[in-house]
Parts: sequence; structure tokens; C-alpha cells
Amino acid sequence: MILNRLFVPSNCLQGGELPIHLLWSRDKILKIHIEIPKSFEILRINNGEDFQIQENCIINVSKFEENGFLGMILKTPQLPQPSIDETIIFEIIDSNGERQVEKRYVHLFRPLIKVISVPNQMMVKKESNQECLVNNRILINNEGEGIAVIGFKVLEDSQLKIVEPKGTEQFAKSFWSDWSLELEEIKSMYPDHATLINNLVLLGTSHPQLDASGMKKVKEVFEQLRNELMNDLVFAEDFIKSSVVAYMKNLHIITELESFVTYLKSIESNRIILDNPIGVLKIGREQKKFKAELTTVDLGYNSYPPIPIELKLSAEDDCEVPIHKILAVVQNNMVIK
Amino acid sequence: MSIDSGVADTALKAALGVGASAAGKEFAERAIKSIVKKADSVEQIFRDDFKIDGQEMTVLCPESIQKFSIALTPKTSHLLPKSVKFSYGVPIRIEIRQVMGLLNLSDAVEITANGFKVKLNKLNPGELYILDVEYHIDDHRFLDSLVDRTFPRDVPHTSDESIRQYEMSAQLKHLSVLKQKYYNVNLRDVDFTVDIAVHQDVKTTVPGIFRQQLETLVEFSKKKGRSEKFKLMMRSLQLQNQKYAGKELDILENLHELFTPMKFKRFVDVLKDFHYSDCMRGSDFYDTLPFPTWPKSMKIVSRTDLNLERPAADGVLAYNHADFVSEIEKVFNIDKNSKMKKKDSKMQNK
Repeated sequence: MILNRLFVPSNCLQGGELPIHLLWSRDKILKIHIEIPKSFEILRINNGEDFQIQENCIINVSKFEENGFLGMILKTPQLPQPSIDETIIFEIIDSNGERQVEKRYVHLFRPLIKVISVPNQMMVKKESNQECLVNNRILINNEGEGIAVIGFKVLEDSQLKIVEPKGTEQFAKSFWSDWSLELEEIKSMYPDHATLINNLVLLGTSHPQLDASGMKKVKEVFEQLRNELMNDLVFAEDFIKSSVVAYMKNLHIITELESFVTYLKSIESNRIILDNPIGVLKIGREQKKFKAELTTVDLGYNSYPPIPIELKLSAEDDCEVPIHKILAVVQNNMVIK
Repeated sequence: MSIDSGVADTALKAALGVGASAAGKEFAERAIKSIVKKADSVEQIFRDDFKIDGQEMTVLCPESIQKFSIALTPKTSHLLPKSVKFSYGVPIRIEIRQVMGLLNLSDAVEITANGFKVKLNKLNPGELYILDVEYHIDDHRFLDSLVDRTFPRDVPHTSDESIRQYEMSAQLKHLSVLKQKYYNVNLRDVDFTVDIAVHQDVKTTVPGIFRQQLETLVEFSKKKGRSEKFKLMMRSLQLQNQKYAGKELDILENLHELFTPMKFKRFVDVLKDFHYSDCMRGSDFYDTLPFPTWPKSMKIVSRTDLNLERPAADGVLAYNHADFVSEIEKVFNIDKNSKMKKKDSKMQNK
């Protein structure tokens, strides 16, 4: 064996970065030839001093800044298939002509939200125990292996809009207002992190849509947050404390019970998380149109084409229907939620 | 892009951002230069009075500290007080140890207003000492300029696996910048975080009846009309005879505890080149939907060392979600045996 180590991850979320590295003894002089799938993009080659790329998928490296290591970061594509195995082939030749060939398979996966059916009409009944019962729910499924965060983007011409139930809206406003004050103090203690804090507050108070442009902003802010928390533990501690303080101050508005209920509501079955699960539709006897797009984002901040949803809703009596109640997850032809 | 060779290769290199890569190397060189500047100054100042027998620079990543260690032997003895002064910044810590016996000579060093000094009259000529000097690294982007850390955002979820594995890797971007004239720079405890999804495990394990109870209590606590309140009260009374009545807050407190670092780390194993360091609640965007109280993910911090001898590291974070689910079931006193019996009788009836 010429190489001491060859690392290629066995799976990767589509659209994500794939790190590869090769390690060998420093006394060996090597030529390395790597074939990658054409759909992959080469983002960085680390420690390769002299390399050639042919047809965008064949990398030849024969000189290194420091012998013994070659690394690279590839970008995987988002593909029509929700899961597929791709192959990377390595050929290593040393100065004695000895050859080592390795094949590595990478499983590329992602979520795939399918809307199985959308009823033309939906009727909401209030049971004697005050629970809202919805007939004919929108049936969805996640046919991919990745987690999907879904949401509704309500269109301009929809007669029904998603609103926050009164208590929660108050909590959210009050929480962010208190946390913004705490964060002002954090800003003065850590001026290096002021830009991040400003961006975070803006994000929290504006609640961006889960579409490509909204997610771009979310991704930028949260990746910046992740880096700055990781690289400055003292700041991280004060930052986390400040959110707990703001939460505790507003606990009287939303109880611990309700927050747990809300948490459960936000989790659908089958690897689906619902954005804004406590949003409600205010429905009355008069049938009204709900027109929206079902948006999907994965945990790598990649967004997917929205799915149009249009239906009419009415109720026996005026009521607020939580948005998660109009959805049902289907798996193996059975409703699992 | 469709490229062949020769000129096209050059074009592709440009397209690849080799220019950007060169800029990245320049940035890394500047980052390293800012920390080795002080070490190089220490070495130059000490050269007159000491024989330098070795040097080492270690970046302690969690604390953002550069630790410069220099092995030195005093050339001559001094009866009268004499110090070698270093005036290029106050260190966080300074220590000098005699190698023979590993004696710490705290009175041989002193931090001054603008640096530190080593008292030569406290040291013996011909004796080998190690001087450790630590400075804080102010540049928060220091590590990012040197290391490529690619975080697994998600793993394929298959229902029959009790352990989910997250692959981790870290590699140096520009190896040569770690090589200095007399020493190499080592990076110790480079951190690597992975967000592991826990929401599904909680959701599928929380009994439906408990959820109903909570929803009723929550509705009851809100302002409602008399007849609505009455209906809720009747429902609540029905649920009073159920298993979890009156224990809701205790149960939630026990659930909360599962997300504390002390408890959660039991469900996690870190293997190969990385070692476990810490865990905390997740902080990604979907964790804050709509309130940042119950985590949908837990952030696991692992660490590894990188240097010229080991420029890349890989490891596995194994999350035993079956065990985590078992712990949640214990909170709700869910009897596994009766669950299995129910499952078996359902299969038989089929």
C-alpha cells in the first residue's frame, strides 16, 4: 500500500461540500491521478503545487508544497434524483512504478417533498373538547433521506393569511425586544461581533421567508454565528446567557408547557420540520381561498422549487386552525400523523 | 466547463480560483506572521545570553492562545541582579522550568508593564531550562485561514439504524506556512462541531395522551369564554384519570435534563482522530422555530490536533439515538415489554 490514509466521506447532502484527503510517508515521491464525477465542482486543492485538470473531472498532481499530503474540497451538485451513488477513482503511482488504485463511493442524498394530494375544499369542525378537526388534509411525504424544513409562503391574492395566535405574537415581539436590549450590552462588550449581532436581530424581527433569497440571508447569518461562537468561547457564553435572560423575562407570556407543545407541533413525522407551526388560519362559515406555495429547505440551506397549494376552507363556527393541522404526512400509503 | 490541457488548464486554474487560493495563502501567511513575530523577537533578544536548544510554537485553539516554548541554556553566571527584558507585549502567562527535576522557578521570571523579564542571576549556566510564554490571539479568523473544516449538515435517515454516524474531517489549507525557520507551528485541539438532529426522536416517543393533556392545559390557561372554559375543564377532568395527570411540569423538567451536556454526552461517541469535548443545544436556524427553548438539534464539539506531521484528520461521531429514545421512554414510564407485546399481538392478528 502506497498511501497511509485515504479519506472520502461515504455520504453527503446534495449541494454540500465534500472533503477528501490523502496521506503518505514523506520519503515517497508520488504522482496522483483522480477522477471525479463531471457534475462535481472543484472548490479547493490544498497542498498541491503543480496540478492539471482535464475535462473538468480528471485531476493530476505531481508536486506538493510539502510532501506527504494532498487535500481537496469538492462541491456536490443538487440532482434530480433524491439519492444516488457517485464514484471517485484514485490512481497513485510512486517513483518505483508501484501502483495503487482505489474506488470510493459517495452516497448523495437530499429531501424530496411530494404533495400527494390537495383537496379542493377543507371543512373544519370544532369538537366538544375544543379540538379542531380537519377533514381532507393536504397529504405530503418526504421521499428523500434528508431532513426538510417546510413552510407556507402565502400569495398576494390569497383570501386567507397565516397569522400568529395572539399570545405567541406577543411573546415573540417581547422576547426579541428584550433580547435586542441584552444584545446591545453584549455589543458594547464585544465590538468585534457587532455586525453579527445587528444581522441576527434584523433576522429575528423580520422572519424571512424560506425561499432562495430568504435562505441566503439566513445561511450567511447563521454560518457567521457558528464561526464566531466557535472561535470566541467567552463571547459564546455571554451570548447564550443573554438569550436565556430574555426568555425567562417573558416566561409569563408563554408557559413552559406551551413551548413544549409548540416544539412538538413543529416536528412532523418522516424527517419533516415545519417552519412557523403555530401560525393559524382564521376561518369562518364563509368559504375562503387559501393560495400559497409550499417551500422546502434542507439543513444545508439549499432551497427547492416551491409547490403551489390552492384550496378553499370553511368552518362550522369561527375558529383559528393551526397550520400544522391542515397537513398530514403519508408513508407507505398510511397517514402517520 | 469543458477543459483539455495546456492553455485551457491555465484558464481553469484561474477559474478554480488559484488566484483566490494564492490570496488565501497570503492571508494564512499573514495570520501566522502575526503570531510568530513575538516568538521570533523573543528568540533574537535571548540569543546573546542563552544558547537556544530548541523551539516550539503551539496554538491552543479553544483558548485562542499561542504558546511559545524555548529550550535555553544560560551562557554565563551572574551574581549581581541582571535581567533580559522583552518589551513587545504583556503575556497572559510566563513560566520557566529547570528540565532536571522539572522545577518551576517562579521567581526567575516577572511580568512587566509592557512585557516580561527573565532574571539571569536566578539561573545556573550550563543548566537546561524551558521558557513558556503565552499570548492571546486576537484575530478570530485565525483558525479559518489555516484549516478547512467541512461539517456534515445531515446524514441519510434510515429507520432501522439505532446509531447514526457523522463523518468529520479537518485539513490544513496551506501546509508550508506552518514551517518556520527553527520550529514548526502546531495546532492543538482544533474544534469541530456537528449538529445532530434529535427532534424526530422526541416527537415519536412522546405519548399522544401526554400531548393532549398539555394542549388542554395550555388552552385552559388562555383567556376564553365561560362555555369554552367549561368544555376544557370537562376534558381536563377526563384526562385527570390518565397516566400523566398532575406530573406535567416534572416530566418536562426530566426531559429538559436529557438535553444537558452531562446527560446527552452519554449518547454520543467520538472515534478515530477526534476526541469529544463538549455538547450544547443547537443554534441553527430551524432550532429557533418558533422559540429557542426545546432543541431540534444538539451541537457536539470534538477536537483534534493538526501539524506538519499530521496535516489532516478524520473521525466519526456516533449518535446512539435508540438509547436516547429509551431514556425518553423512561421519563414517560413507557414499558418496553408491553410495547413489544402489543406489537406482537398486532402482527398475530394480521
